[in-house]
Amino acid sequence: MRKLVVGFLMIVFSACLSLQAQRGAYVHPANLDYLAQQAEIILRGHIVSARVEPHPQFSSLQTVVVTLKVDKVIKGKADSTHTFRQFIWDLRDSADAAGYRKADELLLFLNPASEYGLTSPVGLEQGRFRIVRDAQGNAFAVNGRGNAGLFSQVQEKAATRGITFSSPVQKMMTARPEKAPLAVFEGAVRVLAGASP
Amino acid sequence: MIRRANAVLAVLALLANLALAGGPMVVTGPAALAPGKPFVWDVATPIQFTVDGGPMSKSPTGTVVVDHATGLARVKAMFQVWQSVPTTAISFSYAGALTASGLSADGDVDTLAEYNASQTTCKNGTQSPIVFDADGSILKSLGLDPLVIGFAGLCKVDPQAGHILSAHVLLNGRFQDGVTNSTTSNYELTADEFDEAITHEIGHFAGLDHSQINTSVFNQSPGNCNLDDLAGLPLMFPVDYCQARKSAGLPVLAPDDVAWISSLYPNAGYPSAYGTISGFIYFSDGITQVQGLNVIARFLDNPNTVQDESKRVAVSVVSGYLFTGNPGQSITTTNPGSPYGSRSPALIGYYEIPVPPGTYTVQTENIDARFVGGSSVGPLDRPAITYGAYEFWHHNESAFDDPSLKDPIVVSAGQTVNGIDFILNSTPPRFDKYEDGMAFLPSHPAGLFAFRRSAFLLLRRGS
Repeated sequence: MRKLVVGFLMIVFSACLSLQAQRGAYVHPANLDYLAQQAEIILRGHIVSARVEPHPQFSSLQTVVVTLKVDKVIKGKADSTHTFRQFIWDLRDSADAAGYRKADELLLFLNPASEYGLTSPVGLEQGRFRIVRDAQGNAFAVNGRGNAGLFSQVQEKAATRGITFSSPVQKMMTARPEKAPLAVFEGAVRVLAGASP
Repeated sequence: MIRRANAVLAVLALLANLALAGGPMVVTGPAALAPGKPFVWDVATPIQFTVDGGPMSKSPTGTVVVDHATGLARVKAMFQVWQSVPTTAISFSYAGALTASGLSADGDVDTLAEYNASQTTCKNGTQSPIVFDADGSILKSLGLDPLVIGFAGLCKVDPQAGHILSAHVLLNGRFQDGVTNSTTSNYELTADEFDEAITHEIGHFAGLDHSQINTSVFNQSPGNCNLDDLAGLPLMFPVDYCQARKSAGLPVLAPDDVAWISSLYPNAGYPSAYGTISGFIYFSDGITQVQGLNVIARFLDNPNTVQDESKRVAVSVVSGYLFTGNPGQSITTTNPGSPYGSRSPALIGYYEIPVPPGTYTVQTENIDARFVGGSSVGPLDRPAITYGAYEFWHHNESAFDDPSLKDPIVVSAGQTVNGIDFILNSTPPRFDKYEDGMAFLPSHPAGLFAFRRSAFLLLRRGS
């Protein structure tokens, strides 16, 4: 049995103890509260370009440079066009720009950029949400692990900071949908990101 | 009955000792002399790896928690897990401390400049480095957050010969520093959990892809999975949902892991220890091949034993695993597609599963929708969700059969049982409304079966 299943770890992280592999990476699970707290910038936008190139200072480090047309900024500061550089280490990521595809609509929770100008989504695939629409045009957010564990323990953790969610958000958190209704989801993110830890 | 149970247990024990990962991670593409073959290391000589000269883990105050000698011993043991599989020819050799121009003489990688230096040697194909990020500072410099336990990747391949020439692994020592502090995002794993996570990464280092078996674990408590499910759950499963295999008294590798490392790197004993099940997956038209379905061969359960062998001994692969996930196109733009994977249409729905001798059932299923991006399984990312994907194979496969019907398949050592072809039920029409294909399965062991797509359409209209 896992010894790490203790107190606040359970609160901070999903009750799901899965560790996610990310094209050659093993990543500890993160819930929405962690994503929102950890991210320096949270934004939604469409990919304008994604190109693979070496880091300008460290030529043996491969990177993908992603530019988005920003539709909405939920946390931090970003201009109408936002560009970031992410380290990639897998040949397949080099071949397909780590899955960043032109015209894709994404909601990104981005880590603070390092002193070398590198950043990445918080929890890698966990902080990278695709925006998908159904036949009626309703928008949903889905992260790189189908939102598994995303809502676990979020309400409990938020409650300790005196945060109460709206009824639609509570309903979503309870239902733990694999596709989260975008408007409700962004409302939850805004509350979590704006509240002091 | 007891003797039979003992025999089955003996087989299981043997399999456990074999400590048997999904199929190949990367497959040769158009540039290869032989497209559609797994990228593998040349194992005529041991694969050499070098190791960071510093400690594996340091506390936030700089105190060494896991020193270099202990870290080195653990890394060697992780490689040994794969090398110990008795039916594989893969072997690894420690080639000393990491050396690179720009790296201190002790080989300790502490800064991004030093990490870049180690990557230079890897990209040149001269070294396969294992880097200890003892306090997580390299990850921070890379813009990656502290939740990353470790990562691995191939640095250089020979696209013509289909050989892996160098690879690398980075381990985040913060998960072993004895500190749990949510404020600084510093978390811990047990040694077994950490070692299994890194052994998984070494599986990728060896060229193995993820593997999907026993997704029923997702219906169980995290970290407390049923032993039958856990026993068959590949170490190369995309996420580590359950308790550490070793902590549960199981070998670190599951039968699927053992089968695939052996299949990619067979030694002289492999032909007498493994057979093969192969076939094609078709849509309901019986003609069009389906890529991206998970195919699992499960050992037939023995009702006289307490264990469920069908869960414990299972090997899987994804249909069309040798075909490219992105063939590209030249109609609206010039897009050559992925450099990896065959372009031969004959391989789009083909599968091949290495199995220990025995009696099996074979089934298909969708790849779990959660397995995308870095946790993808097989050539398609995002997974293709196919209607009618859940089906067992039986002798009278058709687009109208009962998907729960299953016939046993007996496989002997060295034998290839081919023609285990599936026709999925109720998949949407593939071509235009005038399509009238006839499906024959000429090598079918139970004889021919054919149906007319037009009849299928009539039935649908009539229903």
